Amino acid sequence: MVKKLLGLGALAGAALMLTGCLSAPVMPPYGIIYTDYKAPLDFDQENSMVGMKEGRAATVSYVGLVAMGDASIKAAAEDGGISTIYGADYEYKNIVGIIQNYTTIVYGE
Amino acid sequence: MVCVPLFLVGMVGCSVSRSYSRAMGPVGSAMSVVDPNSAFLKTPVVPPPGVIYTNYKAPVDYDFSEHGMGTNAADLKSGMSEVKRINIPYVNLSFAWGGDASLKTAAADGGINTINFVDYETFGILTVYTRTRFHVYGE
Repeated sequence: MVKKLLGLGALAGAALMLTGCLSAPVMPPYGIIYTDYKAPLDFDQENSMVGMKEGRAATVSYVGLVAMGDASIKAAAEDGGISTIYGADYEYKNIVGIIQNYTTIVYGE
Repeated sequence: MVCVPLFLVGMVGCSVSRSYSRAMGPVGSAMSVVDPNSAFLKTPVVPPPGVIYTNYKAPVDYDFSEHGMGTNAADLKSGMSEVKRINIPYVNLSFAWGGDASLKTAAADGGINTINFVDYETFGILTVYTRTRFHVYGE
């Protein structure tokens, strides 16, 4: 059991060492074992996003080895059926470096 | 609980390899043999990349409420510019070519006069081959 944990730990540690972490303009402190937060992407907002439509687009990274997805503004706007974007946040999830999710969230009408 | 210190080692490794590249230039790049931070582009938003395979799109422009007007996102023209790079790992000899990833070129490609927002696309295999595209949307 201990050997298995060590192996898993070494694998995740190596993966984290090999891969780049998320990089964003605003980054709250994140957890090594588990992270799940939302933070501002557009931090120069003048509109309240309350009651607006929301569109999401995401990328995923497996063990820091394979990364894919479409988290572009275009994809997020299309997802939410948004024609005018007023602001954006992002969401980041990380489970022991094995699965990392980055999601762009745009708000608009 | 045994594995926790190893995670810490991993996280330290992550930040150390970054600071090596930043502070020590080519020497730092050589020390961090497979450093995705030298192989992938630097933009404000970089989703977690993959060492073996990376293919994602992400935002470049994230300021949408300029003058409180919002940014039009529907029925836009799009244009693209790209730059490619080949890197020999371990010795970190790299060649970047087709080097016009400028927004001007992308806008000209799409016949765009007013740029509304910009996304980028990065495609990489084993940090050996990297292709970066900028997608410009506007009217």
